[in-house]
Amino acid sequence: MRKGKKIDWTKAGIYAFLIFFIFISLFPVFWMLDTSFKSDEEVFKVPPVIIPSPVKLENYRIFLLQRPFPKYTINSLIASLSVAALCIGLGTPAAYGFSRFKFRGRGFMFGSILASRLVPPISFIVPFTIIFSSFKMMDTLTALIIAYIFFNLPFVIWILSGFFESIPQELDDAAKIDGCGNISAFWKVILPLTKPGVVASAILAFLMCWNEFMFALVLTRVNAKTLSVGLYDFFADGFVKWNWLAAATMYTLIPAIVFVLLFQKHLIKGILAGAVKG
Amino acid sequence: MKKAVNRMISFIDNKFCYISTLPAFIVILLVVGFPTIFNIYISFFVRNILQRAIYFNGIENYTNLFQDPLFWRYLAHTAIYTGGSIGIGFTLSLCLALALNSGIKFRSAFIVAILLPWMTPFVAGCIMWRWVVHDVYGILNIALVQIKILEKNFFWLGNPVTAMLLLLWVDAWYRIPLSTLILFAGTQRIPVELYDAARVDGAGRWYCAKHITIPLIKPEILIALVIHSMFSFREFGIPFLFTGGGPGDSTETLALYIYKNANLFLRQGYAAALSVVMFIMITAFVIGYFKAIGRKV
Repeated sequence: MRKGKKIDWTKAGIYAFLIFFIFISLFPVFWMLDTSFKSDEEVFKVPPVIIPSPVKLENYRIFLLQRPFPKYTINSLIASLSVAALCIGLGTPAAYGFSRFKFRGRGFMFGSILASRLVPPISFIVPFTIIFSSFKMMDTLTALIIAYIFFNLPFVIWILSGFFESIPQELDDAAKIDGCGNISAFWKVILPLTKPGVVASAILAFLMCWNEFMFALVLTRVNAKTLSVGLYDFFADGFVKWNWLAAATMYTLIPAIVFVLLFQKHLIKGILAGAVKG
Repeated sequence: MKKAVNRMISFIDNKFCYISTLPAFIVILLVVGFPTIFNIYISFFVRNILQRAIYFNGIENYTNLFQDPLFWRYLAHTAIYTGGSIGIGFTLSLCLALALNSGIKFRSAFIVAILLPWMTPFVAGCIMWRWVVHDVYGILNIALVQIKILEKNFFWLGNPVTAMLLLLWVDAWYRIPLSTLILFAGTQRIPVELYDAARVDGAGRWYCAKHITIPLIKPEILIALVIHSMFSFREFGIPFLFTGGGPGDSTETLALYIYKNANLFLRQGYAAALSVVMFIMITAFVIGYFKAIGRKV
């Protein structure tokens, strides 16, 4: 490209646009983080305090004591981890099977799995409420996990089948010539290659359950309440101090931030491969 | 004996196509298929748990629905919400994807920053934005008053128009990351030689974007549009958490109305009928969309 003394204004404009957008879109996160370190008076000061002094970490301790947040966290963790594990366990072989074999019923099965993404989640609240109440399963994590599989399994299959399709069929054939059966070709040759995709979809499944709100609101009362609903209660409670609420809000963001920072390469690669197929 | 085991193994191996796919299919059938059919069944009943009234009602739920002025009102809100979110969100996503594709530095850092809102819990995102637009202590009001654009604090969520605009902005804020990623994935498919050739012919950056990138990522544009519109149309969490349908019912969407019928008004049959209608609308839209562009779902 043009290099030298001349400033590339288009390029500068592109950077400016990206930075401006990211500033706007991450500003609430920054502002919430800032608020979570403020003392009660600093929250309401005009003009606003940008750098709280001293930085108060106490808010994080206080909000955890206000409500059973540790319990909500454990509930969220159990639900998200088991759904991620179930979806990967069921979804990986399925995505491989759909992308590699032509067999009777393939079109129908794959089509209906993809079509199940068209069903709006809101249309499940009535049947799930009725079914789970009749089995005395309301307010249990099992009910929540079953509900979460509904929107995660098709998504995982969708992402992963795109990933498997990006791996050339010749690799399977080569493995089979070397004496592998279908299963060992999948297990020993193809699966190790798709590790980034599997990791990415596991993370996404985990985050989607962690972030889910509607089913948790409808299907849980006390025992199985998740962090999302716990935070909503805290917020909807009328007067709650904003610095405590900010600390609680930042707390629910931890997994997202951890995963994005640790696995950004895997995540981007995995999602890109899955999304290309569409 | 060994022969039998071997035969068994090779039998399983030959049927691997079914062994791998059937479990997932059966789970989806149980978790999605059964409740969907059950939902359609319920939609023909009147169910009121409080009065313990459950009786068959024929298609009356559906005829009531089409005469329900609220249904039409909330359908219109949902259309505004979806349309606005696409208008803002999709335009920005396309610009972002093109910007990411223009050979900039620190690309993966930009992608991570763009991606973050998508990973934020709905509750957290909505609380954050509510704190920014808070009527008394919100930073938006404080800033606007300081630079003298506003004379005094404005109650953003108390005005039907600004509430709706902010609501659809929050929705767009959530959808932009995925759309950008899909569009960006499309741009990565385009061979670099095409740009090189265009550059040799003297084409500038804008020309390349308009005449190479956008036409070539058309499939991704269509996919991103259909995903964005489908998800916004049926969104429950964001309207519930950000405005709760208020002020009054000026930002109430269909999904919120279904939720209120099911859980507050105790009209489960009616809620089921509403959600069936919503499902039909989404399916018709998606099928019609793919038919129109001549691709199979």
